[in-house]
Amino acid sequence: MTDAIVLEHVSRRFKRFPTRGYTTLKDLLVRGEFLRRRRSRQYVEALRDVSFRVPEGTVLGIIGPNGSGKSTLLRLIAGIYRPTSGRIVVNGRVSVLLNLGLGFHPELSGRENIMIGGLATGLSRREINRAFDEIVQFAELEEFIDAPVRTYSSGMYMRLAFSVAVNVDPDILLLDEVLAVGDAQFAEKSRARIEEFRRAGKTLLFVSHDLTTVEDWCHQAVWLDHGGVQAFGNAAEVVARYRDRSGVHARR
Amino acid sequence: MQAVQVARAVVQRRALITELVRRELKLRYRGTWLGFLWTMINPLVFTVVYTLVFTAFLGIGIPKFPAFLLSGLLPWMMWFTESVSSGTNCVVDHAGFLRNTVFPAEILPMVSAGTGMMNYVFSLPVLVLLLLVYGVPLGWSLVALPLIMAVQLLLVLGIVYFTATYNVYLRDLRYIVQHVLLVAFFLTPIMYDFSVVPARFHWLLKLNPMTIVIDSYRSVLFYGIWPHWRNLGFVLALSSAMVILGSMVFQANKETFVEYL
Repeated sequence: MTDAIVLEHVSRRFKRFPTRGYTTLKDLLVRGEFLRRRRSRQYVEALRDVSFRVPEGTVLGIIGPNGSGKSTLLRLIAGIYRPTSGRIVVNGRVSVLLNLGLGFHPELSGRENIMIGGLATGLSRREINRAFDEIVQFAELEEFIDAPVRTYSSGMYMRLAFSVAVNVDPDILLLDEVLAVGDAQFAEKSRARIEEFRRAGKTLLFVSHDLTTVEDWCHQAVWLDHGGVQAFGNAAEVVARYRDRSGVHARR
Repeated sequence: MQAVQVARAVVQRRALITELVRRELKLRYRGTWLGFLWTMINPLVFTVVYTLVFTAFLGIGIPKFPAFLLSGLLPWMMWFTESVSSGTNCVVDHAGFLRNTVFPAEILPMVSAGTGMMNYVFSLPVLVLLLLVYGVPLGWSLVALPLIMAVQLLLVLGIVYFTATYNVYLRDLRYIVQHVLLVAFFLTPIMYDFSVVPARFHWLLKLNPMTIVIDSYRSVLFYGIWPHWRNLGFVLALSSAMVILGSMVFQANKETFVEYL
């Protein structure tokens, strides 16, 4: 079986910003940061020497405490960030769903957002038109698809975002803590869709704090802590070890 | 080679570019009654006021002044200023897209340049109407119009690749750009003709490539003569060089953008 994703010694560091992510002219001139910049630059290592392989058709759960590098990992695989060092190989078209709906424009209608979102992922107009009905139907937004997205409830928003991400026919789907939102009925539907997805031999990575979901859905899991891999392997085992460790922390 | 990558991006992503241009145009007028007319009203008010000041108050006798003014004012106001100021902020404005989706950032400057161009195109009927009202004959020289527009498109794109890139790191740039645009407006022969400027100041106007572009529009639309080909060719070469260099700078910085957004 071929690997959908291969990570070899992947590290990513970020510049540490004192207050905000950018400089102003005042900073440059008044504080002389122009001269100081290089010397005082500090880095945060968000991911440290991460290596693993994800075979095609795997559902991989990513667990770990806040700030352990889970979202950074997804962004690296999606190609939004480049690794500082190491190598990432991704085979297939990736669809990514991070921070719900931040890829949507609030003033545009659901229909227009689907078009833009689809084109940005690399689909052609024709492919989007073909998937359109399915996207709308799955999101249960038939009535509201021509209303501006800003008028949507957060549930509607999330259903649309999820529906676009799963219906653009990706080979690899990356989800960041999204399954927690939405009502029970939609969660059930999403789960069915992911199951279908898995059976079609596609690869799914998802970040979750819901350990039960990870145990139930995933074949494999990776546990990140402070940017490093604490454990990788069978989902049930990794979750058990993670529970163990967290339990110990809680008792202390 | 980055320039080739960018050229490829235009071809591959043309559907996304047109969709985003359409979005920009649509969003601007959504919820307004007059819609696109609002954008037209600005240069029209300008034309009325300037005609009053120049011809009535100061008695400067450029014949058919409103038609003269508008033929140079529209490409500046509707397109150049518009695209350069929105383009400078294009990367910052799409922070959400760039951080959370796989989004080809290199097309954003093209969207800004293209939106401005469409803005100009939509305003052309009003100009043609005014030219007819003032009895300016529309001649064969009009066929050169698309070419001049192509030169302006490249020039705008070349500028925006640079300003959009550095505005990510230095957010003051968008304000600096506003002031540069204002100064450039007066140092470009829009309200006056290049020929009335004393020769010892010509260098000052020629610092700005838009001088030649505006002069070309006016030749073609107002005077009904061919543009100065050699000068226009020079701007074309300069603009192409800027697009190539600018897109290289943009591509080289693309990876670091997300950290600063």
